[in-house]
Order: sequence, then structure tokens, then C-alpha cells
Amino acid sequence: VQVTGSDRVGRGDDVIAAVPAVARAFEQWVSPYLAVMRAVAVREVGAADGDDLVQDALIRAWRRRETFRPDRGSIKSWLIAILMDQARRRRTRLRDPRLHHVPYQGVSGPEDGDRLDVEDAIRRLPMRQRQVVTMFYLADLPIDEVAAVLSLRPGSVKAHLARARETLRTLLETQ
Amino acid sequence: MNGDGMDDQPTADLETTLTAWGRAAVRTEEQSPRSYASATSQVPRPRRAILASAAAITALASTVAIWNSRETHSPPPAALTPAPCQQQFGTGRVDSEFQSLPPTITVALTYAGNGRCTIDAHAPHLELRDSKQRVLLEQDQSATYDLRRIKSSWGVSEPRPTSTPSTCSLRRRMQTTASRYLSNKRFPRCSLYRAAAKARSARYPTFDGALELPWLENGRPVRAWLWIRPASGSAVDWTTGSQASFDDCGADHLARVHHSEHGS
Repeated sequence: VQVTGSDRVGRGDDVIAAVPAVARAFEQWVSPYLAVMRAVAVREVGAADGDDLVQDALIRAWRRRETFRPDRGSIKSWLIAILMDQARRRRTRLRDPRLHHVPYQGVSGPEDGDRLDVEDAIRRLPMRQRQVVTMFYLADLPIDEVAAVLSLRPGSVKAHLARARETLRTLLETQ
Repeated sequence: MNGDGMDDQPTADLETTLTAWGRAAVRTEEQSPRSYASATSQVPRPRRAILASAAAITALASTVAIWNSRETHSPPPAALTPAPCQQQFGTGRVDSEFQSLPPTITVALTYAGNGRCTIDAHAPHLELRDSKQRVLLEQDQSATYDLRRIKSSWGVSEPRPTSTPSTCSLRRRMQTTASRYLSNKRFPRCSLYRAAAKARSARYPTFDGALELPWLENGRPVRAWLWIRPASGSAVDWTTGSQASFDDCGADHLARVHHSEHGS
């Protein structure tokens, strides 16, 4: 293996062993939010790309971990904001109209019938309303953090949420 | 739920329904564990490792070491062939079982014992194709030709041969594309490795390394590495080992493959 001399600083297990602590700290930091991140991700870009989106978001989080400010929001909202930004970038980059519709089909299983109805109803919402519902009910973020994540004003979040509820109420009643 | 005051208060039923939906959605993900981050604790300890730089010590990148394949995998004893490698894959051609992950490598296969296959890709032709049979990497083509082929396949902007920005742009695009090899849902994710790979490759474009690809052996995912050394551009070696699961995607290596291919 060829390594340029200036890059080589050490070798062997003694050095290697000292490194993962940084990674483990980050891992412990983000681990509690991986499930919710993926749940949001698959609803943003679909099940097939959800994992990639989470990965991209974690990459960015790793790189920008120094920029997290606990006084400006929770870790969860910070991670989800990154995730949503990556989803937006992905949509823009790929310009794939399919990505503007969420192909997530939920889970299978007879016990999930009600949930699939809700999933289907939410999927029919306009994108912004769907995102607000996802942030509020799935990610369980408070209104001000939903607003921060989606770059909206809190009043707009409430308005989107109200319209979404109205639509969902109608959809679920007719199912 | 959140408890924020709403202008319109939802009915209790709807609120309960949506709350239950949200919790069930997260619970479903919690019950299907993935290792986005946990791969960091499963880095195999190489016999001999070289760290990238002082900066890399503080970065996750350095948890993934560069291996010396010639030391890690001894030449296979001739007495052990014919071997399950050939039986599994067929001599001279390796097809992934994954339609979405189909590395097609024209190589020779030998059995190294202990369930290990050595895939000798010193043959002049080596290529990786995606699921639509588009060429991702061609060992026997020049970097310029490679770029144009990939440009035509992926629609990225025409790279100017001496333009670093174009090359970097293409490299990033290729990383994203090639990383999809590792993104099959059958395998755990290695986002931290990817992060490390990108961070390291941006700083140290001259590194050589290896590309780890999905692999199945007897229906079980194993590790496989493709080694490329930029100095010669031709020393390529495939190795697989039926050790553990496919927990470390090794995407750290992925970036260096692109660097090697592009002669950065």
C-alpha cells in the first residue's frame, strides 16, 4: 500500500484503537433518532431511497456536528431538518417527478389495516401539508420546531396542520 | 402529543388516530434494526493498518484502515482447487445475485481454504455495471474515456480533462451512484463510513484502496473487496471471505477507487 509520506502518521492497532471513541460518541448521539429519521425519510422519498436519505443526512450531521446548538432546538429537530434538506436537495438534483409523490406503501399485515388507511390518507395530502403532519405527529416535534425544520412561520404550520386535519377527517370518514 | 395550542382543535378521534399512526410508524422502524451508525463498532481489525493523517485520527475516516491484500490473503494452495468458489460462481465470471447490484467481473477464481475465495482480477478486463448494464468502472480504459462513458450514461456535465472542479463534480456523482451498490436493503447501511470516505477522499485524493461490494456466498452475504492501486493502475485483486455479515460496507474505500480510476 502506498501512502504519501506526509500523510503517514502512524500504523498499528494502538493508533486505530484510539479513534472509534469519536465515532461511538456520535453514534450514541444520533442512535435514538434513527428510527424516526427513517420513518420520515421513507415518507419523503419512498422506501427504496429512504435509507440512502438517512445516510446522506447522517453524513451531513457528522460533518456539521460542531454546528449544533442545543439552545436553538433539539437534536431530533436538528437531525430532521438536515434530513428534510437532503430530501429537498435530492428532489432538486434528480428532478424526478416521482419523488414528489411518496410511494411509501406502509407495512403489510392484517393488524395494520387502520394504519394503512391513515397512511394512504396522509399520502394524498399536498406535499407541505403531508410534511407538517409527518413532522408533528410522527416526528413528534412541537410547532415551533416544525416551523424551523420546514422553514415556515409557526402560524403557517398551524394553518397547514388545520387544512390537513380537515382533509384527513374527510378522507378517513369516507374510507 | 405536542400540546401546542391550535387554531382549530382537532377532534379527539382524529388526534388519537394520527398520534397512533405516528407512534406506530416509528415503532415499526425501531423493530427493524439497521446499522447506520453501529457499523463503527464492527470495523474488522486489520493485521496491518496505515492511518491517513493526523487529521484523520480525529475523523471517523481513520477507523477504516487500508489493508495490504497480499498480506491479508495468502495465495491459495493449489491442492484445494477445484473449490466452492467455482461451484458457486462459475469459473471466470462472477455475477451478483442481486439484480440491483450486479458486478460482473471477468476474472479467475481460486479457493483459498477456510471458505475463502480469491478472485484474481489481474486480467486486463474488469468492469462494473449497474442494473441497467451501464458501465460504472472500467479497469482497462483510460480515465478520460471513463469519464466520457460515465458522462454519457449519467448525464453529468462534460468534464474538461484538466479541470479539477469538473472532475470533482463527476467524482461526487459517481460516489453517489456507486454507493448504491452498497445501498441494497439487504445490507446494513454504513453512513459513517461514507461520511468518512467523502471527508478523507476530499483531502487525500492520492490514496489507493479498495472497493467493497455486496456479495453472496451460499446465500449469505460476505465481504468482498476490490483493490486498486493508483500507482500502477492495474494491480487489482478480489478477495472474499465468509466472515460475519456484511456489516461494514467499506464505502471508505469506494471513494479511493474513484480517485484511482480518475488518476486524481
